[in-house]
Amino acid sequence: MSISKTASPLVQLESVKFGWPGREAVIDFQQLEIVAGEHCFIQGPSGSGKSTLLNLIGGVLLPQSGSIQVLDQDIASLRAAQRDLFRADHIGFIFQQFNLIPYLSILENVMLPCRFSAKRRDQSIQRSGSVESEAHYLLSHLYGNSGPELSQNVAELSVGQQQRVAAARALMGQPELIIADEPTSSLDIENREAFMNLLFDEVRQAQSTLLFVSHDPAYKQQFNRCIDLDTLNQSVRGRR
Amino acid sequence: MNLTRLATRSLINRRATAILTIFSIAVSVMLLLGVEKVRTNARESFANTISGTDLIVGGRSGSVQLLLYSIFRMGSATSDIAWESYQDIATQPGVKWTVPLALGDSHRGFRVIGTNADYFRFYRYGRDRELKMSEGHPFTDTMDVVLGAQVADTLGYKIGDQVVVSHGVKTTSYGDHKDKPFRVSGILKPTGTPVDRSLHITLEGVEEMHEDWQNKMDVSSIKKRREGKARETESVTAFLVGLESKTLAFKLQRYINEYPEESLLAIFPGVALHELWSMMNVAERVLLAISTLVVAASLIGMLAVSLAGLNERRREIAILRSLGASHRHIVGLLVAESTMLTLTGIIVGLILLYSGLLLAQPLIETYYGLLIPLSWLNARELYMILILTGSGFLIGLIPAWRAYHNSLLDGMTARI
Repeated sequence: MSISKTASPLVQLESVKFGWPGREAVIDFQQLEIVAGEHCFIQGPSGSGKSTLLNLIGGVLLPQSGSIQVLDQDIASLRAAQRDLFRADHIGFIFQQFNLIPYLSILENVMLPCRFSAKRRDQSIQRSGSVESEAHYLLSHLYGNSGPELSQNVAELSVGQQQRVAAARALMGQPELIIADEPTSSLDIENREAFMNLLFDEVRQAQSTLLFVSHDPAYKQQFNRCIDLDTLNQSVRGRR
Repeated sequence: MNLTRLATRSLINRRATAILTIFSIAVSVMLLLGVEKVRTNARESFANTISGTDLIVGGRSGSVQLLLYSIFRMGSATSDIAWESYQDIATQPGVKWTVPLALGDSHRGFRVIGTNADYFRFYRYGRDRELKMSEGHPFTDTMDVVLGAQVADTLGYKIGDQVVVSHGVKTTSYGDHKDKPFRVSGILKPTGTPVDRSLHITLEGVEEMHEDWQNKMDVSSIKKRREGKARETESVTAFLVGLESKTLAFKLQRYINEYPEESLLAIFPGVALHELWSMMNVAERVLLAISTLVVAASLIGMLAVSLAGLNERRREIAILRSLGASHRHIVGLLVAESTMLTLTGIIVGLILLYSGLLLAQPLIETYYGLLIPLSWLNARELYMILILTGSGFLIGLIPAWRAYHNSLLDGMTARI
């Protein structure tokens, strides 16, 4: 599936409700659309249902009602294993911290998505000849010339370096959607800026759609669209 | 997605606990298979103590008792068999050979067997193995003695040495027959049976020795003995019978058991051996049960370690989920880990077992007369290993199930 240049929605949520059993709904969305190629900033404090939203888009959680479509695929209609494969094929995640598998090397961490997704493996090979050279390529871009040894254990990396490895892993095999959940909040200001610039560069180059979630409105202006989760999420509005 | 590779890397990352787990499984496997090997070999060697003999005949007592004193050289007989009865049975139709056994004497803690040259011709052990001389030759003189391998080895006797036999079977026997020393004429090769711990003398030698001893004690009997049947055997303690055809065994057994002149007992060695073994196999079963429990304990240890480490791994599992790992992958990862720990434990256990056997083999053979061959695993042992691997796999399902539930709660974002 290639990224369409028309303004068809890549992610589409309609009247989505989700709540843990026995508790009130944490997510209650009338409508959310993210267009392909868009760089979208979703702002919301903690407790606003951010991670639940990401788990819903990733197909890890299913809504109690409403529909979620990603790349025109109704997530709820897929079986659990199919949803997992769909996530592996189409979405790259970057989280706040501890993104990496501690017992794998830098290179192995970056290549990991290609173990779960044949599609992303094929695309990596198509682009760079092999999965490994694609990983090398992405890492050299994100690190510049001062990168660490790629066989190095990830536990020895600084947080800034870890986040770059995580970004390289999310970009591996050009998934259509990159979801970044507070990827810079554990970085110092200098590193933040550098990281954001690199992320935008790479996302643009890969022509992916970026969904950037943060509580910090400082990044707003770098994005072409901003969504305030509090206004969108009716369950939160009701509670406050 | 290569789960085994991921599981291996994960285990290497937690190598301290992994190595301890592997080691505890290895020790338990070594114990289980070691007990199993000793058990089977002890049973086999036990069953091989005597072969080729169709009937063992002695005075009326229990069959196990008869087997113990005639073959295992333990305990003592309650009554003897008159020489005439022995001769009568030995000449019954169908009897191919007989070997007389006169028991009741000892030499420095080893039993002395009075017999004749037929003992060395007809006695069989194991799979139809004959007694072989390692030095010297069987009896040529009345006062010759042929030593079992262990006797010669322990007491350091050589051909031509003089041996004084005591009356009675205790180490400190009353009355050594000092006047009538025996001369070592031959030493047998090791057999791994009680033969190794026996001294063999001629029936005439037994009479000579006792007569001389009794003469000193009881003057009145001198004349009777000297005049009458001097140096002639009056009785034997037991005898072994070989038949022309096995089908005659029941008939002869009945004949002996209903012998009119005196009460005798004839037993089938195989049946009596089996009976004796089943008396001892409670110990054998207990040993097996204990080693099985040790294995269970080591597997429970593995489970405990795996469950305890699970909380620390919630984030790792959440990351894998975000990368597209399905629940099946997560379950597979944890099951692969416990299966690999179990398998590695088994392999290390086998290495320990065989190297241990290699070291202990000569010692066990020397001290217990038990040869434990370094044979490859038999079907039963392989079956045990298979069950063990299966248990490792099944036990892996427990932390896997827990991890599955954790990841349902955590999704892609474990907050630990």
